Amino acid sequence: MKEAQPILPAHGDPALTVVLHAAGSPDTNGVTSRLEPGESALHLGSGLRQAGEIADQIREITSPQQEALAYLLSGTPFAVTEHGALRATQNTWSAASLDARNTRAFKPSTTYHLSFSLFVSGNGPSAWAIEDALAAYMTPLLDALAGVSNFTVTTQVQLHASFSPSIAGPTFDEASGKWKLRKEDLSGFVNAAEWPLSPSIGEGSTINFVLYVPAPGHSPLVVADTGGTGWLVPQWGGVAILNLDEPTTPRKSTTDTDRTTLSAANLDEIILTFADQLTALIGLPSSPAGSLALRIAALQRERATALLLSTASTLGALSRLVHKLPNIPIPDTVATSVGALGNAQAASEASEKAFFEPSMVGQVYFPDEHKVAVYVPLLGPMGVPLVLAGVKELLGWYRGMREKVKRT
Amino acid sequence: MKLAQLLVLPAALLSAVLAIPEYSEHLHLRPLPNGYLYAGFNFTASTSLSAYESQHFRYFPRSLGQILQHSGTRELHLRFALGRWDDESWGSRPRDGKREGGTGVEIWAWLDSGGGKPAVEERWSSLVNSLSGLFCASLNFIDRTKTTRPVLSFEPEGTHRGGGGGMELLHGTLPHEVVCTENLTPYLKLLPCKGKAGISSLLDGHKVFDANWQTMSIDVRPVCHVGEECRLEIQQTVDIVLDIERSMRPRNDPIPRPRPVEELECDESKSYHASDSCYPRRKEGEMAWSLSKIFGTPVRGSCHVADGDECPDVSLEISPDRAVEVLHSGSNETLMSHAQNQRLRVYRLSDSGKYTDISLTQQIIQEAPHQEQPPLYASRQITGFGQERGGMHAVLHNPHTYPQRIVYLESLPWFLRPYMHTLKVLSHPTTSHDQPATPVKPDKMFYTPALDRKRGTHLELLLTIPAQSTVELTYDFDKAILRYTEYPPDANRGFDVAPAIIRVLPLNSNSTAGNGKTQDSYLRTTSLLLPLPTPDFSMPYNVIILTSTVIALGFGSIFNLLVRRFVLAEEVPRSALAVRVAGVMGKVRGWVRSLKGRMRGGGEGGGRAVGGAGEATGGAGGMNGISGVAESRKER
Repeated sequence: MKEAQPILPAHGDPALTVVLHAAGSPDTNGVTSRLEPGESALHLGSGLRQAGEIADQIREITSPQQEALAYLLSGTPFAVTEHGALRATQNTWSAASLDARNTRAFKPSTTYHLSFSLFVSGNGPSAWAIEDALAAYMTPLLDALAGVSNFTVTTQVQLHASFSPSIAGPTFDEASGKWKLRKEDLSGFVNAAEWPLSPSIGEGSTINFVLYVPAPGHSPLVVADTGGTGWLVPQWGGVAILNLDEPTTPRKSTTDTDRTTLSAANLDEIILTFADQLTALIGLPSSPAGSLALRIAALQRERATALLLSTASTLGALSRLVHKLPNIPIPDTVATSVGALGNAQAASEASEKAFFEPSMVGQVYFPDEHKVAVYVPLLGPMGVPLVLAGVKELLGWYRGMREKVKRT
Repeated sequence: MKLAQLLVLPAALLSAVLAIPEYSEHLHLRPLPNGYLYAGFNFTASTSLSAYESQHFRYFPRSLGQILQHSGTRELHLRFALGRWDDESWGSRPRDGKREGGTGVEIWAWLDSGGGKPAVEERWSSLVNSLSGLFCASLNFIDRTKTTRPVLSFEPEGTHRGGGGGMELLHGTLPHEVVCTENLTPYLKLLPCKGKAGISSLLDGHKVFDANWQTMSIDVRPVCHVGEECRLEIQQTVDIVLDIERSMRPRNDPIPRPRPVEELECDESKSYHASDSCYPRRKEGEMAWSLSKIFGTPVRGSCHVADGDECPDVSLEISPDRAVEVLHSGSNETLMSHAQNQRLRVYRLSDSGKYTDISLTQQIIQEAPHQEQPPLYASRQITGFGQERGGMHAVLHNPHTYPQRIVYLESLPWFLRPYMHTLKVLSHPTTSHDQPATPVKPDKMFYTPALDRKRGTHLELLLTIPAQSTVELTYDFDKAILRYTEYPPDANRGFDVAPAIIRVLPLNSNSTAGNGKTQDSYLRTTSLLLPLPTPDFSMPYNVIILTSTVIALGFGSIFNLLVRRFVLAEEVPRSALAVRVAGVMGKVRGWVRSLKGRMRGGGEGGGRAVGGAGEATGGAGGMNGISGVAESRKER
């Protein structure tokens, strides 16, 4: 229940600290105030105006947050609320950007498994200094995010990784001397059928980061149009291409005499790219820029809201399912797990579990038609005389009516 | 799981200090008698335990590593097997039978025993379920009824702390499972070169599963050497026995057809040899074969990915007199080749070559093929008839001149209920048939009786098989009747009973009995098919239908009694339909009568009289017709 509780990063530091301290310098007689850990420090001369300024700034910082929460609630019954602050945002631009952020990000989860994979198209390089690179660039970010979710890290090396047959493959561009990957191929670049990118075991989603080293014959490999070497796959992970023989990075290659190992120097830029992609993939808001702690706090609030919403909607779906299919048995475990609405997160997990309870699925495929078919030998011989007798009675009644009419 | 803390260096391995490469692969080829070829693939990868615990994987497959960590598995042995090793003609089993499995799927693993029995069972269930997904096999059906805990049959191969304390062995079998390509594909994905380079490029589902005998194994165990960090080693082996002639069938014509007459090789020395009769000539010498013809493709490239991997890739165990041609493309670099002893030739694939092929010609070799005798011959059958009871009959034959100690393990399904009081172990000497059978007393016996639908039978016997004698092991059993829903769709096929596993214990070093092996070896019998009483599955429907009919009959008569009015036959008014039918019948009758009359008239008169007669009958016909109408009116 970390998420539902307020709003402080779990390790106890307040997200926003207003530090007011008397500046000792003689040229200003006022007080310097700055927002910490935000970068937007303000140095003001007069002490009296400061309270209002600070309030304005805080409002400015929290307004995207308000919009985000309103966006989450829009379209749900909770959207109509007496709090004026939670009115649906009128700003279509921010709605669109929130939409994009949401489609990119993973479903909120207590645990994320980060899987870093080196895919090499040939025989080598077959090792990478990933531990050092991760310790330098990824661990600080993960420590900061510890209040949002838990993270596990696995790495692997895979040789002989071939392109997926579904993509056209890179084409050589004579003008730039580079191999270009078409934009349409980016979504199919990861060869899901052959590359062992199975999700990690245990609860939580797996975020994949793939570093691809193309064969010397296909190097340098870049994305057409942009010329970039990395992209983000929404709700899946990130991909980066490392061209070893690129002339712009000779100093790295020369230091690395052992061609079978990628040094940490080769990897630093890539890990930074992955770190940036990770913040997008877990849905970290991009504002207020510069303050990671404030962004994380904002994410925590959004998480709490989203979890409550998804719990409510899954329970609603389960209830509709039960009404729709009256002949599936509901085990006791489902009843108790539905009752466990102790807190938002536990209930969310329990209701998801209840929805996918395996013992209920089998009975869906025993339709009522089968029951009718089995009882046809009973219903047939009983039904036919009944129907015939009914028809006869009706005819007799009709004739009687007609004769009555004729007589009169 | 803190594996590193649990591992210590065993005293036995202190002497052997070898820098093992992180990955190595090896293919061993040995022609067998009667035109068979044994091919044994071995892929060994390892990772340091610290890297394994922090989940940094290089050549150790990540998918498997995570499963092992999640389920607290310390040592894993997984087998997929098909076919039967013909030890009468092929001799002793490869790798002493240690990398062999019973027909279907077999798995045994040492799991962390922390948390008591329920926790271990939870881990076991999580292990088999995850492996089931990884290998596309029905391993998830290994539930409590198919799991046993053998005591004597298996010992951990790895080096565990405290001689293997704090862990528990569980063993499960699925004899019904059909091993096929969908299991090979994920198996190859665990390899660093993924079947795209090196000797693994020879492994193709069409050839591997066309073999007479095939077994795939995965063994994960911790290995410690002195002065080095402990490592976790994964050994994958594929052992196959191919029929050379069958495998060399061209790929574009895989259907076996009778050979054209011109291609038949006939023994012309026979007296009955003629143009229309042919006695097939005995194959002389060794058959010609090549890798590319047998496996459909030559070896593609090489898979030398680890530092310090200088091991030979391919070894060939053939007579020193045979000529071997090695073809390779891409470079002029010759392959490393040196003979370690007379019979073994080893090769290393060239790193720059694209294709490598080894081919042998047909040759007549005088030397008798060297064949190592297996430690034991074993077979097992079900005896008896009927659907109620039967008997088990296992025959263990020791061909050697020294007695052997064995462990006989059987895990039986719960619906086969053995009677242990009928268990008889009798020994006959093979040298003289006159001697009466003498009973053999098992040195030790472990027996866990079955519980219906909860647990299978586990029977383990420690026996001594006397020199040059045959031991027969028999017991009776009852067949249980299953519940209606417990039968599989093909219930009349029978139910598979897992093979018996026989562990031949090593001889004591101080025993003077003979030159037996110092390492234990394993062999397995074939799996059995147990016919159970199967009900008529349409029975419930028949009952429903019969009951329905009876009810409908009763209902019909009561309904008639209630609804019908009973009157005298004369009182019944004729229905409109009956009247109409009678009218039509009358018309027809009249027409027939008139026709008859006309025929008669035509026969009597001649000349003009014919016309008159004709008119007369016509009149009569008309009359008849009128009378018919009148009749029908009257009836109406």
